[in-house]
Amino acid sequence: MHKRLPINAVLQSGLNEEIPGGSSLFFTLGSALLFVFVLQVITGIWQLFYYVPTVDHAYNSLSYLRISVPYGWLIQGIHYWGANIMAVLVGLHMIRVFIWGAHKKPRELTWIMGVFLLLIVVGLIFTGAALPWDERGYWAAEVGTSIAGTVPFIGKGLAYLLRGGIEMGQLTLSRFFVLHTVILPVIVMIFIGIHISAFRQYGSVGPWQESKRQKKGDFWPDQIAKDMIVSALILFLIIALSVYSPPPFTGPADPLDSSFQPKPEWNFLFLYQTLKEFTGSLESIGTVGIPTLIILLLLIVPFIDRKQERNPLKRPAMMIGGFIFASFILIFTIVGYNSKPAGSQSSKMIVKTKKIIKLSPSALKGKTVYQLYACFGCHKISGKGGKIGPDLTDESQKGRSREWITTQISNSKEHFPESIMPPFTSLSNQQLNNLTDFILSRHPQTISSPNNMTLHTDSSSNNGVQSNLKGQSQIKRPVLASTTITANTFKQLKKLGPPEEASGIIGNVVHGSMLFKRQCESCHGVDGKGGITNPGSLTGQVPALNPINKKLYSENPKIFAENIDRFIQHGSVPAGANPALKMINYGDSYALTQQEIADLEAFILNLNAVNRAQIEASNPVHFFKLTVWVYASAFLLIIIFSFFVKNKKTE
Amino acid sequence: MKVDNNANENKIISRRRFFKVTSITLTATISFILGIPLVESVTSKVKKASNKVFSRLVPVKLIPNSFTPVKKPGKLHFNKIEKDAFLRTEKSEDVWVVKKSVEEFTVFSPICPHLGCRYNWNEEQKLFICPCHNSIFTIGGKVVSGPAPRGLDTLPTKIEDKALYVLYKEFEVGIPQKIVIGY
Repeated sequence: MHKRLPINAVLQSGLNEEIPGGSSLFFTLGSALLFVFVLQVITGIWQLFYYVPTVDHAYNSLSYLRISVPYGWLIQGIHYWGANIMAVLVGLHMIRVFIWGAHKKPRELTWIMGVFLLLIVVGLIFTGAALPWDERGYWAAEVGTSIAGTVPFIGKGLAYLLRGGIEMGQLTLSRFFVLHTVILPVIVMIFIGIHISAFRQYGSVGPWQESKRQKKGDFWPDQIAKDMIVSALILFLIIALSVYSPPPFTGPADPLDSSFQPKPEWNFLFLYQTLKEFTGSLESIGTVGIPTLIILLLLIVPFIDRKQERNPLKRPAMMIGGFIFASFILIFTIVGYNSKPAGSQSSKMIVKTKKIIKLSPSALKGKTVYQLYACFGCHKISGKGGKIGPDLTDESQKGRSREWITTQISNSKEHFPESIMPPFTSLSNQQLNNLTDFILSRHPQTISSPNNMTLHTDSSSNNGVQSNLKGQSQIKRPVLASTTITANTFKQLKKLGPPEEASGIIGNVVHGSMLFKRQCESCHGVDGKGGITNPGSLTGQVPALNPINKKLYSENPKIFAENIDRFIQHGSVPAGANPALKMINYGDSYALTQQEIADLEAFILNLNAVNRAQIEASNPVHFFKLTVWVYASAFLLIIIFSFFVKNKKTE
Repeated sequence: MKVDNNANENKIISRRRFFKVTSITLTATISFILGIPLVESVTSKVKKASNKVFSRLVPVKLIPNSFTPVKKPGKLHFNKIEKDAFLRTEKSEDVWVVKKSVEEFTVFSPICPHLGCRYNWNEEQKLFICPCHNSIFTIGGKVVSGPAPRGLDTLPTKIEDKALYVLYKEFEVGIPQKIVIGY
């Protein structure tokens, strides 16, 4: 049998290797990388049981894996953190090899293969991040492919090739998928094979001191035992990170969303920061020049550092060079980490312009009245506030008299019989004057962000347009639902209409909170705390969302999301004679996309202490406890065993 | 450490053996810890989203009586949202509705219980006839002739807000028993 199938012989030749200077923890990094790579392959394959690479289902399929499939969160967590750990290990492994001088003759090829492996790992991280087709991955891919587009001469073609077209889309995802799951893994396996074969040709380099090299150790079992200790600890770390720092749900990719400010993962931050230094015609230096330079530097290291001397103390120039190189990457990573994306400039500009215009003391008092009576619930000034009433930013430019304004506030119907604006008769004359002063003050214009463009675009359908304020700029409003609900019983909930697609999407809480400020805060109050009056409604107030009506609340995030989804999708009219404010049907009128509604729902659930991304199938903390227990037992066993080891010195 | 060789010879192990034990113990640990998620994620049952939802057909008053003035059942189409794992698809279904009185309805699955074809109403014979193997049923769903092993499958209905709702189900075909296989 052995003659026919020489497994033993192959194993023997693989395992029997002498290590000069004996086994060492320093030499475990390469094996640790191999271990993490195997982890990535296994968890990668396992994810394929659930993942589908289509733009409409990729995000939901991964959410499903993480939330509904038992231990799906762990499989995805290991893959996510494994990729990060792998990037760290590659760096450490290269530093180790460089200090030990293991790249020197005759091991140049091993080093060069290693640099190629580094590049493929970078490619795998880049393509893998896009696969969930979430906000982060989508924009990272968008930026990455755009960077490829800046390569001189071939850039456009390269970007087209990567994207499968001029724009990002399904073909982009398909291409990234094939690269990440087939092409790059196959190449990486071939290169790992070459790298390890090349390494075994000349064996481990061992310590640089000749005296220490005399001592010999065995690969099996000495080095393997140490490799296993390091690998086991790395797995422990990855599991801990997956449990206590899971990858965030950034919401499904929304190509229309310009509020998302893409910032690369930490492993690309130094490139991102160097890129910022080069603008205009120099851009391609940052996007192509610097990375190419780095790769070239790495490739020629064995040819610059040619002396046979391996002791790092005796080759100070190389050590200093290496140190500068590593510091450059480290410092730029830290600077990049702390820097703000370029897009955040516009908000600074708003602050600046606001400071220029000063309000009179009376207008300042009027501003507090404006806030006290929640005028911002319906009106917008300088881009902030609701959209139900007209924008008041330019009110001073419209040539209206003070009297006109005061009448408009105390009895709007006098000017516009169909106006829905409630009469604010409870204001004192003083308050009314102040408020008028405030409204007639000059207000800074807001820098229009493309965000606002997504609104009202589809409300142009005939019945959707309601011009309720004659003589003023027409406000287009989305269609209002015709349903009236009095109490939120299940039956009445059903009348609103069914929950739609958004209720099944795990939204992004952070993005949801931004949307909430833009869309909901004006009526539902800051953080949904309520307190905004709604004249003509039965309760007289817009319902608070924090805490939300008990009948809508559920500990089960799915049910909770479905309950509020009906309102957001189809709108509702509060009970009462003639409510001034009505819930707009954001879904039906396409005022918000399904992704945006999902983000809002995640935020509203979060306000009520319910996690939309609650894991259903298995408890991460329980699993972590089990892991701790198993590891403790294993290491205890090893420690007990170590007491029985024959000490060499006593022999 | 001084070791009494005679007394402890059996207890003492070599360094080499210790490394082997360490490697094997840790390999087992890693395999066990990784094995749990890998096995569990593909073997254990995932809680399936329930599709047992009544679908709204049409307001009751819009459905004509199936016996007067002419004997004729109605075929109603409706859209049903189906949840399967992470997919949410809108599926078009239809059912045969027999209205006996203002609030009395019988709703039949459109699938012939013989081999799963879709049967039709024959205006002349006033019978349901399956085009595949000529199974024939009365308007009440009883088998008149043909190979069908059981009568037409009725579906649960309810009336809410003056509209007719139906709980769509699929049944196993070809056997005398009515066994639900899906919603």
